Amino acid sequence: MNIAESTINGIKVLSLEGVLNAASSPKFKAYLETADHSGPMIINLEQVEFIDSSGLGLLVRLARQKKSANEALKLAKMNDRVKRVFEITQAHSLFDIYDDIQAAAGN
Amino acid sequence: MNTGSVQTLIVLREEEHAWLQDLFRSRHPMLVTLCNKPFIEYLIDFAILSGSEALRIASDSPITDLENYCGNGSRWGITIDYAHILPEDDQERLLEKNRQFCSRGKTMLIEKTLFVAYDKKNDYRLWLRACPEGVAVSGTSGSITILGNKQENAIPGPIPGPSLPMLLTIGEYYRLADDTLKNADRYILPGYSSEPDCFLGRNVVIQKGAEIRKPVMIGNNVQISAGSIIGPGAIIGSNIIIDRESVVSGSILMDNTFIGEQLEVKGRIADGSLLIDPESGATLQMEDPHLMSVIQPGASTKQIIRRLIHALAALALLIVLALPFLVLRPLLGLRRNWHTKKRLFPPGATAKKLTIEQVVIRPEGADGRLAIALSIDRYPSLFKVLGGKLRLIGHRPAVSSDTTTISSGCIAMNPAVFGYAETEEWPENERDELMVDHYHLLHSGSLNDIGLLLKALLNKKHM
Repeated sequence: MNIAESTINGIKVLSLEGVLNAASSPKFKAYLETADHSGPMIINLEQVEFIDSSGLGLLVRLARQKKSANEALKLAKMNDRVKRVFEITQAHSLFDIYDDIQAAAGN
Repeated sequence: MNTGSVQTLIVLREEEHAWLQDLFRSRHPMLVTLCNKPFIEYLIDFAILSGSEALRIASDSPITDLENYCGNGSRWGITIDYAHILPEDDQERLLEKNRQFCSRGKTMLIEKTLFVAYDKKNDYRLWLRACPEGVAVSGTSGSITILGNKQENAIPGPIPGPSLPMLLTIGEYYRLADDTLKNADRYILPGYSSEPDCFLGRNVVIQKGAEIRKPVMIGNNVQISAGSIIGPGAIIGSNIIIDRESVVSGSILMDNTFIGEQLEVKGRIADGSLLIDPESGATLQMEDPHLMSVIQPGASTKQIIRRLIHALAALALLIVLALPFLVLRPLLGLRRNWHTKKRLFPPGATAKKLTIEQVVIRPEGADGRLAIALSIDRYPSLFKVLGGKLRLIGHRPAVSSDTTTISSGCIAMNPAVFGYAETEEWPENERDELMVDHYHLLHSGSLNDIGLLLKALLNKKHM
C-alpha cells in the first residue's frame, strides 16, 4: 500500500493507494506512529482497492484518537468498494465522509 | 456549474420513518410497499419524470437492503449511487459532503419524504426548470428543495407541481394506499392491467369459484383458493396464499403472508402473522399459523452446506474437548467459578426468540485459566450447533449486556458460539465487535469460517 501526503488549507491529506488489509495495516500504523500527525486530517480513499476488517479497525482507532484529541478526521472520495464495507459494517456512522477533498478541507 | 444536467439527492434519516420500520418486520421504510411498489420507486419515478440523470441516496443508517434492491439504477435507466451522512448533519453540511454530486447542475433535494404524489401525464421537467432556488414543495411529510438557479429558457406561467401527502401514521399509509389504487392512472404501478382498477402480477392462480371485485391489485406468485372473495379495495402483495372461502376486502396484505381458510379480513393490514387496524393503530399477533403466518423462503444449498460444515466442526470440537470438559467442569463448579447466564436472542424483537445460555468462567486458579484457554465455556453451546440452532462462528451476542446495538437495516444475524470479532485484536466495545461480525457475515464462506474459527480459538484476547 502506498501513502502520499499533501496539505490543503493547512489540513494534512493522506492519500492511500492499494489494499488496506491485515497485511498492509501495520505499514499504515507504523507510518502514523513515526511522524507527528496531530491536527485535523483528511484520508483520501479514492485509490483504495480493498479494505478488510483489520484495515477498518485501524481507521476506527485513528478516528477515536482524533476525537479524544478534539481533532477532525474526515474521509473523502470513497469508492464504491470501500463504501460497501463501511455500509455493511455500519462504520460510516463513526466518520465524516465527503465526496470531494476540497469540500472536506473547507474550501 | 453545468446548468444543463439535473440530479436528485434523496436524504434518508433513520428516525424520520422509524414508525414504519417498527411496524413492518424491520424492513427499510423505503422498501415498504404502497400498492405493491416500494416507496423508493415512487421517488425514482418522480426523479426521472423531472429529468434527473443521476440520483444519490444519502443516509445516516445502514441501507444495504435498499442498495441491493436499487443497485446502480440501470433498471430504471438512471444512475444511482449512495452516500453516508451523520444524524447531526444539517443541510449545509449535507451539501458540503455531496458537493461534487451537486455541482454537476441543478439539484432536487428530497428530504423527510417517503412518497411524492405525481401524475405521470405532467411534464415535471418544465416544473423543475421554472422553479427558483429554494424550497419548492414543503409539508409535514417532507420537502423538495431546488438548488441551482431558475433556467433562462424556463416556460413562464403556472406549471402543476407534485405534492407531498401526509404520511406519518399507519392510518395515513392505509388511506394513501387506497387513494393510490383509486387514482392508479396517475402512477406507474406494477402488474398487468387490461381493464381499469384491476392489476394482476405474474404467476397468479385464481381457483374456480373465487371472486375478484374491483378495484383490486394482486402481486406476483399469488394463490387464491376456491370460494374466496377478493376486493373491492384489496391490495394483495407478492408470495401470498389465500386459503379457501376467505374474504379480503378494503385491506392490504403485505408480501409473504398466508391467510387461512374461512378468514375474513376487512379494513385491515396483514403482514405475516401481524394484523393491524389502520384506524386505531392496534396490532394483533396471530399465534395460530393455520389462521395467518409468514411464508418463509427455504434455506439455500449454500446455507445447508455451511450449516453442515459448522456441525461437523462442532462435533470435532466436542470430541477433542470432551475429556478437558469432564475434568474441569466439576472443579470449576466446586470452586464456584462456573456461572451461566440465559438471555433471549434477538432481544426486544417480537419475532421468534432463541434462548441462549452463555457461560462465564472466572479466570481464577490454574483450572479457570486452563478452561478459558481451551474455550471450555463454549462446550455446552456446541450441542446447539449440531441441532442447527446456533452457528459455530458468526455473531456472538455480548455476555455482559441484555441489549444489543444491532440497528435496523443491517443484515440478519444468527447467534453463534464463537464470534467473528474474536478473530481480531482491535474491537474495544460491542459496537466494534458488530462491525467485524458484519464484515465477515458478508465476506466469509464455509471454508473461511473454519479458518476464522481457528483464529478465534488461538486469539486469547477474549480471555
